[in-house]
Amino acid sequence: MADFEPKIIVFLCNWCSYGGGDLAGVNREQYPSNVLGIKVMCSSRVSPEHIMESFVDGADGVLVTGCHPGDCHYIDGNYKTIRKIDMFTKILEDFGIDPKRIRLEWISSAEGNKYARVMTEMTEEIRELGPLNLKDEVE
Amino acid sequence: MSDKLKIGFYWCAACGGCEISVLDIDEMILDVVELADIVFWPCAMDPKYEDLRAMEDGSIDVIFINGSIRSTENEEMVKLLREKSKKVVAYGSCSSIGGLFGLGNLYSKEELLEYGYNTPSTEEGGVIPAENSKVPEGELHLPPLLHHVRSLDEIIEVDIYLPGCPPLPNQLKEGLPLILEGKVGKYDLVSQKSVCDECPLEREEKKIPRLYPIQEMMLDPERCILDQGVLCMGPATAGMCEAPCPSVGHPCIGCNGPVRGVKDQGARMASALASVLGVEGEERMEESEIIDVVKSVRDPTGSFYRFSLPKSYLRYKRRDIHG
Repeated sequence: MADFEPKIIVFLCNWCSYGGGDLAGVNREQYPSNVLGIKVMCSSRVSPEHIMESFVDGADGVLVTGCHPGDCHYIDGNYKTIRKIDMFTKILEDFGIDPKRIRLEWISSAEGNKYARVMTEMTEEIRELGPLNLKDEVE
Repeated sequence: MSDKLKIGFYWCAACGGCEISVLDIDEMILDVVELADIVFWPCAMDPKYEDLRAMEDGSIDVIFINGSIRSTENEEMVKLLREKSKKVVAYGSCSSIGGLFGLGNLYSKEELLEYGYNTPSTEEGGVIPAENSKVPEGELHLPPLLHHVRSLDEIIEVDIYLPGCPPLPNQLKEGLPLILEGKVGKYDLVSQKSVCDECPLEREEKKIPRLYPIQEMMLDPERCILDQGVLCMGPATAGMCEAPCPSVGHPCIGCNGPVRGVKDQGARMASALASVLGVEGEERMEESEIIDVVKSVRDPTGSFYRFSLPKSYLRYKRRDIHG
């Protein structure tokens, strides 16, 4: 498993976390290239369907990021995200998928260093878990 | 006689409700018989599998298959029926979206057999039926279970989907003649509207602070059931049933499956529910307090995927969690 490179899908909220990622770049912060970012208008736009599809299509982990509670551009979007991800994590567990493969983080546009730190942490965690193999089990 | 259509019905892993629902159309069954001859119907007639094998390929015009695919026998039979039929209709939720039996996919086949045959509830514990057994009269063969429950379209090509548990008379009265005349497309009988769209109950725009088990509630028959704090699958379930359950004060359980074009009913419901749950004054709360609301959702997987698990994204329990 030494040469396993995890694939991680990161959903970035347009107003905070994407800015955070931008700042990480401007500050020349170092973080692994295993993360594939997808910009969404709000973290609550990320439906459990998107996460499921990411897993089925080959992601080993999914990270959802948004504004800190109270800072949401749409007032209560991230409160919905908290509930959605929590409910969905339980569902994933019932399906036999490690709940560590999904993570929710708050990253503001001033937290470039946090962005880099979270990406590194997540990559290391998934590397330890190993690949998520969803290939069909045969009869 | 010869210019009449030839139709058939077959059941796989099913409860038998779909077979009975065919008779729910009352006197309209006479119109159906006027249009078509029923040539194969194990539930009502006594055809042998050999009779079916002896038929010419494509000699049945429309075959209605209900039930999910649970054993190798189901798999074999539907493959045979596909060869013998021009059109295959996935009749009912089990064959079109996997059905109630699909919840068995949250356990392995071995766990299910163990639970079924080796728990204190069974009288002679520990005896799991063997695939082949010898009796004085000869050798008996029992078709083994498949690794997981499947929907019909995972095994063979399906021409028309007709969900419902079972399909209701109003769906049939509209759908059957169209199917027999060949006037419906693959997904035409799956509604694009949700049950909420058809539900007569009054919905207010408000947050739901907590969900309650239905037996703890005295429901107001005029107001939205979800609004009153009882889990109702209406938002994520395809309509066309005209919301018979909420109309009489019972929450929707999601039997029609997802609306047309949606793949995963459970994920949709989780998304919908997370948006309406909540308490006033969340802004001043800790994250852990916000999550508290979610704890009142009992068994999200079992409730959201009650009928559609084998056709969701993940389909059955994976082995990612070790130890």
